[in-house]
Amino acid sequence: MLKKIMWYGIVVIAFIGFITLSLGFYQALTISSGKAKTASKISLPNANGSLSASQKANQLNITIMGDSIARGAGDITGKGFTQYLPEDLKNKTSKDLSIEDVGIDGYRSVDILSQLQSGKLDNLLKNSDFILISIGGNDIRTIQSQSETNKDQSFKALQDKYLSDLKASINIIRKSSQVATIVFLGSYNPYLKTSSVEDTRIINLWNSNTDQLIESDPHAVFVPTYDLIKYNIDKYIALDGLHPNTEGYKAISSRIAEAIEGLVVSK
Amino acid sequence: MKLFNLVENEILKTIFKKRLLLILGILFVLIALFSYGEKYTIQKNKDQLTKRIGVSASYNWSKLSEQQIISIKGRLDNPYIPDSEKASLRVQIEQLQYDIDHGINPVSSSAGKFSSSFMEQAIFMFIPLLIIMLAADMMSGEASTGTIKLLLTRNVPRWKILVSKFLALLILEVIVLVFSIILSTLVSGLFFGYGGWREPVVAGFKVIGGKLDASNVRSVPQWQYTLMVYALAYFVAVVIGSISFMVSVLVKSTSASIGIMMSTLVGGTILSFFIADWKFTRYLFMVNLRLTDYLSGSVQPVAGINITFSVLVLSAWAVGAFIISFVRFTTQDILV
Repeated sequence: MLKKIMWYGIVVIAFIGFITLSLGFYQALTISSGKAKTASKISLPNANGSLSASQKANQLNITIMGDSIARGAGDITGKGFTQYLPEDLKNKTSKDLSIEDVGIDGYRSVDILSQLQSGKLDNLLKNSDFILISIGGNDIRTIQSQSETNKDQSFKALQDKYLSDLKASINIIRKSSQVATIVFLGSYNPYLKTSSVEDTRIINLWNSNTDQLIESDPHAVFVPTYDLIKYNIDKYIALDGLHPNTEGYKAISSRIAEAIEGLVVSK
Repeated sequence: MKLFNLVENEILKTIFKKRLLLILGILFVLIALFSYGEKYTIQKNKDQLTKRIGVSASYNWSKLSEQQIISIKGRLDNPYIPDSEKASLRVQIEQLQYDIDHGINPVSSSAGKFSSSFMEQAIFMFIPLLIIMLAADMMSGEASTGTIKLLLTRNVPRWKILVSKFLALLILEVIVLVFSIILSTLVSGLFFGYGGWREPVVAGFKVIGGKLDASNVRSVPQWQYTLMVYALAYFVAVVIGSISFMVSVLVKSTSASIGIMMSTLVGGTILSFFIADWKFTRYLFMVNLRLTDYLSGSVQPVAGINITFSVLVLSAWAVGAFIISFVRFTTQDILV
């Protein structure tokens, strides 16, 4: 008797289970296969490509590219440098400021290289007077979570890759524009409270090698952020514990503005 | 004897041999360990987050989520973002908004989240191993204990014996999957609470031409996602079951057939490292078991491999295995 009950119980469970699982299987197949909509081409604002000469003379064009910091993540308005940099620069020059931000969250050095290689930014860069780059934070973050033992080795490999990507990126930028000033933002360590001596050493090494590479270009400047953030984490880092907050963006902005002040006045 | 009764016999035999009970026991212990581990990790993450941000009491996740929404919205407005990324950004906003509306800390887990993430981890190794335990002695067990003689001397055609055993296996696989979803919900619910079934989950990734395509990504409720994950796991179970069944027909000893299946499975995961370069490996069943990765979008995209491909390869193996066992069993001489 018990056997019979058990058997019918199993038949019922199996039957219902089988039907439900088959439905689920069908759904799983349909949701992740088949044709995707062809993504429409990205239409770039065409103003960048067709500036008349007179317009250009009266305008300072700034292009911001790179990772989430370039894009403005962590800022309460989500605008980041596009908002604060003009505020800092406007009383230093009589020209109109035009800012274009092409930063994308999560970008690493290899991503801006492919972004540049795609050629979509060529027009934009050609008309730029200043090119602000923030990249490398996402690269170096992959190291910080690793264990101490293999950190050193993987750091070297990572840094080599990063520096060669960055060098290639600058070469591409230079093909579009010989004289635009490249402003490169150094990396800071948002995890200072939990990081080791080794982490600090790594980020300093990273920054100094980047600095050397950037300064080897005649029209480029390396703007450090490490020192700015070091004792001001609570003040300048957003709730996510990673990006600058509004205050942080303002602080970095004013530092950038000071670094390029002389050029802005003369340009 | 009718086929139905034969199947009944097979199932009851497995139950009274305590094989099924053992499998459910293993499932229970593992799920309990896994839930505990997950709870521990979440707590550690929260502590780390608190420590890093420097808020002493507890960090304000809803404010953080709101800021993330603003940031993602800003990203959506960026004309330089590829369209393919926009769909997933929209789903992210939807998820965060849902969490805020329902007071759910995005870092925490729930029975719903746990049961699907458990199966996503279990689908390529743990579930196959359980199924191998179940299937590998289906036929060889009869051979090694000598009961196959009794079975064949009864007035039942051989094909009926084989088909009844195979059907019994299909039913037992459903039972294993149904119990794994029940157990994972019951056990993890003790740790994380029994809710979370209506939270939105990202789904709809596609692999097209070797690239992960996210342009059709949308949200599905957690219960539906979990159902899909377990359905894919059932499919994997059926495939592994058929192959182990074939091995147990071909090999007379149970330990040999379990050994063959386990080493193939483990060896296969090593082979999957070559999948991008060495074309032959993609036709092996072992490298195609991670079907749930296609759902969650965590798949490493390789040109020519998508969910349809994997499902076809696996189906071909299952059908082939069944045909081989059928032919072999109905024609072989049995000398015991």
